Formats: sequence, C-alpha cells, structure tokens
Amino acid sequence: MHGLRVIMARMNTTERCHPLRFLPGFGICWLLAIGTALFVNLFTREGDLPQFFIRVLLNGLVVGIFVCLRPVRDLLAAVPSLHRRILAVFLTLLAMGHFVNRPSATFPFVKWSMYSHPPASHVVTYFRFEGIGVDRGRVLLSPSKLFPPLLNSRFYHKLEDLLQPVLPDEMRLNVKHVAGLRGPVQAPSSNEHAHRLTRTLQAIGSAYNHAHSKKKILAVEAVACRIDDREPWDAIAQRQVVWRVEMAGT
Amino acid sequence: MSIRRKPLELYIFGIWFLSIMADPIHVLSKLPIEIFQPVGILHYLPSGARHFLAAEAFLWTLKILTLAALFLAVRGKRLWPAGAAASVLLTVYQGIVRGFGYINHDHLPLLFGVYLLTLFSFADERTRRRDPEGFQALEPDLDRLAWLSIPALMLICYSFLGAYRLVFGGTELFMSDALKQWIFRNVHRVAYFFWWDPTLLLAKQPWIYVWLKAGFPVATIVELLSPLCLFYGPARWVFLGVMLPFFFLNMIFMNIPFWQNFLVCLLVFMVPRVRSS
Repeated sequence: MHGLRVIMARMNTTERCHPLRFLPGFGICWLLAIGTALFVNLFTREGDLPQFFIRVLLNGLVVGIFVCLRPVRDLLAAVPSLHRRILAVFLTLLAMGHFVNRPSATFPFVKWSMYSHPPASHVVTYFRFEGIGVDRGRVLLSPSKLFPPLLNSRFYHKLEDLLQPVLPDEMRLNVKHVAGLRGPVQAPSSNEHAHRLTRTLQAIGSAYNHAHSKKKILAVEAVACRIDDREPWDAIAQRQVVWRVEMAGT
Repeated sequence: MSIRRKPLELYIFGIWFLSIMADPIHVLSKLPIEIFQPVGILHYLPSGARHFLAAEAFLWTLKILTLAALFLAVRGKRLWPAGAAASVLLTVYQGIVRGFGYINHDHLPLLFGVYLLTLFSFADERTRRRDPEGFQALEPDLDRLAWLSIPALMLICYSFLGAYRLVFGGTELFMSDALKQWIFRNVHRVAYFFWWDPTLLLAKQPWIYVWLKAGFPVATIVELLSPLCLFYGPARWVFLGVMLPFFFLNMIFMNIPFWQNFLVCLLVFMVPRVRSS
C-alpha cells in the first residue's frame, strides 16, 4: 500500500512537470554564458564569429534537449531549488569557460579542444631531449618521467613552446591556429627567452643526474625531428640539434 | 533499495587522495621559476607570489593539507567544510601543475566532482535545517542527483569538445592525416607509461590506422551527442562502446593516459542502477 502511494505521488509529480519546464532557466544560463563569451571575444577580437554561433547553436540544442529529457526533468523537479541553482551556476561556468577561450584566466572552467586543429602542412616536427654522456654516448631523456606531475605531455607542450622561437621557420609549430591555447611565440633574439630555455634544459639534466649518479650526463641537447606525414610509418626523421646546454659541475 | 551517496564520495575523494599521494609535486621546485605561468585563481595573485608558490616547502605543505582535507571530507560527519577546503586546495594544486605545464582537461571532471559533492552537501544541510521531515523524503532523490550530475556534466563537456572539433576542424581535419601527425608527435614524447613505439606496429599493420582514421569522426559525433546517451540503454552502450576504447587507444597510440577522466566515465555504468533505485 505504501509502495503504491509512493508510485502515485511520483506520477503526480511527473504529470505536473511540463517537458519544457526547465528550458527557460537553461536559456537564461546559456544566454548569460554566451553573452559573456561574445563580449570577451569581441573585446579581444579573437575567434571566428560564424563558427562561434554554429557551436553555440549545436551545443545549445544538445544541452537544451538533455534538459527536456523526462529522466532529467523528473529528477530536477524532485530536488530543492537550491540544488537546481547549483547545477545552473555550474553549467553557466562550464559554458562560459569553454566559449570565452581564456584558459589561464578561467581555469578550471576551460575550453575543451583536444584533437581539433587541422595541420597546416604535411611536415611534422617533434622533439627529443638527449643527454650526452662522458663517453659521448647519447641518452634519451624523458622530461615527463623526471617531473612526474607534468605527465600526459604537459611538460612537452611547455618545452615545445620554449623551443618554437629558436627553430628555423619551416619547423615552427604546424597547426592552423593555436591562439588562446598557448602563449604568443616570442622573438628568437630575446636573451631572456634563451635564458629560460637554457635553465629548463639544465633542470632536466640535473634531475637526470640526480637519479643516475653513476652515469651522469655532461650536456643536454634539444633535437628537432622532421618527418613528412606522407612517408611510411617507419621512415627516418631528419634530425637537427636546436639547443645545447652544458651541465655545470659534471 | 535506494543508492546512497557515500560510495560516490569515497570514489571521487579516494581517487584524488591516491593520485595526490603518489604525485611528487615538490619536484616542480627544481624547475626555473621563469617558466611558471600561474593559472586560474593564481593568475590574479601578485607576481611576487610566484616564488612562494613554487617553493619546495610550500609544495610539501600544499600536498599534506590537500591529503588531510580529502581524508577529513569523507571521514568527518559533514562533508562540506573539509570538502570546501579540498576544493580550494585541489584548484591551487592543479593550477600550479598547469602553471609549469599546459592547460588541458585532464583531471577536470574529477575536480568538478569534488566541487559538486561539496556544494550538494552544503545545500543538503540547509534543506535539512529548514525542513527535517521533508528532507528525509527527499534524500533518495538528492543522492540520485549527485550520482547522475557528475557524469552528466562530464558528458556536457565532451559535447562542447565534439562541437568544437566538428566546427573548427571541419572536413579538413577528418580528411587530412592530422591523426598520423599527432601519433608521430606524441609517441616520440617519451612518457612515464609506455616505452614502446606504436609506429612500428602501424608500419607492419597499416589497416589499424585506416580504422583509427575512420573512427575519428564517429567518436567526435558520439562526443557531441553524449549527454543524450546517458539515460537510454542502447545509446548508452554505443557511447561506452566508442569512448572506452577511445581512452584506451589514446593511451597506446598517443601516449596520453587520461585515467582520471576514464574513471569518471565509468560512472555512466551506474546510471541504470541509480535510476532504478
């Protein structure tokens, strides 16, 4: 009998919940997020407006339909308004962070853009970091392994950014557009930049020497490797040492 | 039988606890401070604070305080006070890590999970204080809300990603050999997890790349529509059937083990159980 009463109460709740009940609330959150993003993007003159609106429309449609799904609206109708407001604020921040595209300012609400940038040419440049031993032998260094919090290529992205200015033009980062994702590429002549790159490679070398006290390295080299994506998978890349630092005290 | 929130809290806070415990964040103090670019709330601190944030003593303190806050959040009577501290500390922690590296979406769904559980715990307490009897009747729905909102918000983020890739990358992205370029670049970044070279496998078995390339637009469309997959059986299985291998392939071909996002994705498996509770 009690179970029946619960079921009846639930049915009454769901009957009262109109399919579009939460759509106006979602619309307000969405407009707030998009309005802010549009204002910032226009102010910073960044991004392509037609593309921006197509994304807003696509995502608005998907999330709008999601909010109108029966399981979602039934659950939202059953919980207090405070909980709904928390979700609304969260959704607004997620959308704002994604569409504003200022990740360093809006973190942890940032743009999700993994694997989205088409290559500008067929040439791929990647980097290897090599230590030069006492016997002149080469050791392949793994910066991410030496600094584990920077796993998942985080350190490599930073190192690539640091190396961009010292590369020949044809080796610069090969993507259509990276603004917003990474900082501006600095002038190659900057002494400050050279100092930053040198100190970073020295830190990698020191971390390696600290972990391998019997097989220390004397220098660290950043090697740019170039390969054409039309070549077979096992093709040999062209190598070029683009930066070298000597390790002090070895 | 209704599903309770405690296992979810243990899951989210427990993953964080283990990953912070295993993470030697103090090694970042060995990197030159010049490459540190603060992000998030740290971005708004005066530039003089950078040295302080990157000091070894501060990083150790941050680690210990974060672990303590995570532990107290799940062990204490009320989650939200320690949960709020854990939210702030984890945001600072992740901000420092990204300040030395690069801002990506790794760990973020798990961080949002901590925010949401903390805020829901606070909201529960306010609701309980206003109407203790009514709260008891609401409790199962509030627990279901917590279980469903964490994967739902992650899927909304994936939907943002899917739309961005479709619109920004367009056909140019899917027709090009962008995927091959990413594999070339990523596999040569010697990482912590794998020391093998999948390009040798792809040279011997080129059909694998054909499948990967064909699966790329499919995964993107599934990402775009992913929030709609949450509640409908067949669609949910399509989503899981595409996304779980996607995480796995990312790991073996791109050297990117986003295992925290993968663990949040596993919560989608709980949706039928949560709904029927």
